[in-house]
Amino acid sequence: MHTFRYISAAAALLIAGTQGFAAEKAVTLEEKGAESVEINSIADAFTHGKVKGLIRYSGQHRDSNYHVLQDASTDTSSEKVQAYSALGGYLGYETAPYYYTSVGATFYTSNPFLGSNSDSRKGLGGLYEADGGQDSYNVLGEAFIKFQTKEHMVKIGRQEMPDYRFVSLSNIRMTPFTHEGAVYENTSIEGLKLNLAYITQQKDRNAEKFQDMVRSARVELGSGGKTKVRGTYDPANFNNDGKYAGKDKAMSMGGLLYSQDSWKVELWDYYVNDFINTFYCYGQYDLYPSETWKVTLAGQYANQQDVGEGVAGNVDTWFYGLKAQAASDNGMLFFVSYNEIEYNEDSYDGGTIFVRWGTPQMFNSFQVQDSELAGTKSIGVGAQFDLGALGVLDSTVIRFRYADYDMPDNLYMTDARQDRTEATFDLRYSFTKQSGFGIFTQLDGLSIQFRLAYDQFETDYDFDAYKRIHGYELERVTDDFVDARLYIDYVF
Amino acid sequence: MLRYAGVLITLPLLLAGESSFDDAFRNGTVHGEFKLFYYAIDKDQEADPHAFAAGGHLKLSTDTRQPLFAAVRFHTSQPVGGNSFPEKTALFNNDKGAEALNVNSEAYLGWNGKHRVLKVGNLMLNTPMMNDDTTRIVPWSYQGAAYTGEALPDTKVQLNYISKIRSHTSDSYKKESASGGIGERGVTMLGIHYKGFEHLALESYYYYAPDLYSTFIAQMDYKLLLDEENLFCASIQYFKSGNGGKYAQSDNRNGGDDIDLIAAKIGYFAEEWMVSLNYSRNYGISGIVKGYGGLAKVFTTSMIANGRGNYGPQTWMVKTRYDFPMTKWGESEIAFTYTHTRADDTRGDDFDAYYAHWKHRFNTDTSLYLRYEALDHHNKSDARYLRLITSYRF
Repeated sequence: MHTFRYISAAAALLIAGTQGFAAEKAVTLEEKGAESVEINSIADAFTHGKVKGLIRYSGQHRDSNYHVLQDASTDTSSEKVQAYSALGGYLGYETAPYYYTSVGATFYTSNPFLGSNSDSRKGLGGLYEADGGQDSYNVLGEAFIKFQTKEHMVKIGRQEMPDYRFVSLSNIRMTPFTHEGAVYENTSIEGLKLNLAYITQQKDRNAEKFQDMVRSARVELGSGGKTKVRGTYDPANFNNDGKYAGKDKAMSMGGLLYSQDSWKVELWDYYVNDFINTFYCYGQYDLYPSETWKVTLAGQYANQQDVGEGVAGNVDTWFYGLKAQAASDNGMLFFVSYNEIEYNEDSYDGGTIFVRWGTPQMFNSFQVQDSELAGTKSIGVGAQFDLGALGVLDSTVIRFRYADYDMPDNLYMTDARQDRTEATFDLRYSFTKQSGFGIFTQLDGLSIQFRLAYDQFETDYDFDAYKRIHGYELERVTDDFVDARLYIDYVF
Repeated sequence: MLRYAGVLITLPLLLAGESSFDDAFRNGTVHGEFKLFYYAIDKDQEADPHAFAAGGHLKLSTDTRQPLFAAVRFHTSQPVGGNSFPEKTALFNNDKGAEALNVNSEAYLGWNGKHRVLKVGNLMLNTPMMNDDTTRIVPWSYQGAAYTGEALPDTKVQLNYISKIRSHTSDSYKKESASGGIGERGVTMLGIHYKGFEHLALESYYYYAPDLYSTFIAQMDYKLLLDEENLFCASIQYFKSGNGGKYAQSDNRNGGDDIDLIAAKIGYFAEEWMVSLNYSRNYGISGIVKGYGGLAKVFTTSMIANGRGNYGPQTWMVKTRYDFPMTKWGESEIAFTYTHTRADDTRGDDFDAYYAHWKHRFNTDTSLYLRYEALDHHNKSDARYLRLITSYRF
């Protein structure tokens, strides 16, 4: 019945609107985006819509089969190296607003290109891996209708959700996460922004299908002999592979952001039916000790608890973070940050935070390490130089970071992990801007990004003793590894 | 091959400078189409499939006036509920349980020379035995290279090399055609068109597929313009296949190494109506329904009924169409086709078919298309087919 309504309504809209349609005109991309054009018909809205596009070459190489939750959902193969080399991006079109209403759609694609994309090197998630190899994928990641005035915005359907903290794009492979649901944004009070959303599904970076918000969180019963789910849960919700196989669960989200000249606060809540509730708050305060320097002090706190049926068992965890950052007006930036994650063996995976709906928010979420694992205490430092602003080298930004991750690593601990460090180097070069951008700033035109991470793991543990105590092995990384990433982006 | 061609052609583009690269995009164009599609099949003594689909395409082309240009096109067909046996409607991804079908149907780099165009990448083609078949939402497409030259007067030469083919119900390019594997050597096509004679057009194609089968095609079209509103035409075409390779199946309905088909048509076109009489006779046992991909372009083609089957069918087809005068609501046409097919071989399919459609164009971009065809088979159950398609192009 709904299908009939859908078809009928869409067809009626299509046909009713045709009376206002005009003959097709050859309009170039430059003319399409012109904002001065008056929109008097649906045909005008379609003709003068906006195109968004990205052509991306990306290659990634990690000389280790070390796999983190933020990589592909599939596991790695036995080969020690993980790598992909791909060409893809996205192509999207959004009509011009007509009576404040527009529709849009975006296709995303990634295809093996040059380099080695052997099946035995999968694991990073740059290509389609669900069938066991590394192949092309194409997906309709956005298909939405949007109503937007100066103060209100409602958007329904598949869409990019870039600005909702725990729900975001995490566009660090070939294509980003996109989500399906409805969002409402309100900016009617000066300085205050209200965000509400009801999110039913998420498309993984390298997926062809959307999945509900529990599957997207990558809940699993256990791995390597260790049971991750703790406390009371219904085993019928998991299949033989230990993956979640229960009913689809949706997320309700609310966010309040308030900012004044020198400070801002954010309060967020993410409630996934019968799974978990995540409360997150963030605040920052800017100081100006001199005319050329700005110091920013920031803090963050999150609390994650199981709710309803608790399909992933007990979840009772939290994290907090502190950060101090100094930035000069000629392009230098230095920071130091600290994060601590709860260690609670009665919580899922010992208190590991679920972060799989977007970019991990921990200050010390670096390139490979995200500082979301149970009991992690991390301290990070970094420095960024806008070489164009400094007059050293136009159009170039570089960044150095180092973090020490102190993990719970006593033999008796159920969720022990190896201590580790990560040093990173990032370089961004723009063909369109001389200065004033960062490593992840969205840049039009051609840009190149190169990222390098060196990870070192503490190995001075009695791994055999650990297995004797717990019956399963401590996840073990014995060799240092390098994770290298190259992105060549053309945005239009 | 695609990857190396891509590098070879992309590098000069990038090296040519940022501004020309930007200009190529700024002066590029975007086109799209939105479609709603309903398809129902009613067969006696069998399950009745039906499906609703919503989808269409989005295409971006860089400035095609530049010596180097590129284009990318995506097609999608999404089930919108209430479907029954959707895999039999060929609207969705039959490789993945008739789920939503999202494909990259075009992604090519092109080179413009004087009277010459070369495209390399994923291509949509329009040739008699390899074409896109736009009767659903998602078409067929091909991976390889396509060259078109018009340097000689009145002559067009086409040279295609296809290494992989994507069917209209798949999102993957494979070494597999509609009528069997094409192996490592793929399909090479040479086509020649000549329009140097008054009223007469000649075209001929040769498809070389050593691992499957090769096909020769010749066609002659005669057109006589009687006055501004009246046209008489007559055409004849011939298809002959052979040289079967390891993947050839002689009695394959979609195509094999024993196609021996002659077809002819005569037609009369007035300002508001047309009528044509079409005939085909396949003396071979191989069918030619889809050829290497798409739908083979034989004169005896209706929505479902056709004279392209296997086991030597002989087909007569009468096609008529009437165009109603333009009104403020747009322009309508109705059409009727009668098909009569008999096969000498007892394994062949004898049937009579009745096709009708109503197509309304609200304007050049928006249309509503209702199609119906009933097939009365002599040796298997009868069937009826209904399609309702709304389309908006932008």
